[in-house]
Amino acid sequence: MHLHKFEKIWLIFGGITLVAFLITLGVNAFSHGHHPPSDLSRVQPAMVDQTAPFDKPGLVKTGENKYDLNMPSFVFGYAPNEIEIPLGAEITFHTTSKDVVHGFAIPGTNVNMMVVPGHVNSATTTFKKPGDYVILCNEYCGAGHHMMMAKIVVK
Amino acid sequence: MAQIQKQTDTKQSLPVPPQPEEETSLRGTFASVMILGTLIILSWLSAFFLFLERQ
Ligand SMILES: [Cu+2]
Repeated sequence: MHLHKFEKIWLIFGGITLVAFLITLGVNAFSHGHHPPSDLSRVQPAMVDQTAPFDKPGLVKTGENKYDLNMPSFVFGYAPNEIEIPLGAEITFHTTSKDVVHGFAIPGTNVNMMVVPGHVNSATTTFKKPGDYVILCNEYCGAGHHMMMAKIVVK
Repeated sequence: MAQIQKQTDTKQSLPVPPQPEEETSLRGTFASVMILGTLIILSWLSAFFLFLERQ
């Protein structure tokens, strides 16, 4: 097949770009553990309030400057509704839905989860700047969707 | 003049081998492909670094 010289150049350019993107993503995923929010555990939606760790929503210290934050999502809010987090701590959010599909997003961070009833979802982030953050629902979940939020105070 | 005329005549009379089709100029296409490629790389990198920054 005959290819114009320019065609060869841009095909090679495109090929190298694709390989570079894939290698970057692969190295990030497998050696740094960067991946979209996910969790493999499941829970009975009707039994969330009786199932650990969601029977006691809130902050749990898990290590040196490391915390788990267990926050069930429901129509139309999160528990707890307001929480204080120490500055610079690594926080792993665990959430699940008691009813319908919700969202769990913290603007300014990589925490952006879909909360599906029956499934637990988790995401980890570190708050490096003090201040007020908000947790928002970004999946339309009903009449009170626009009021579904929780507050995080980092200090 | 006469010479040129003669040359042309000779050329025409010779059996011409099939000429390869003249290549189209792809310079404009090349420039647009490279500009588009650069934009894709820049937007990919900015999203990627935003992700790393917020990690
Ligand atoms: Cu919701």
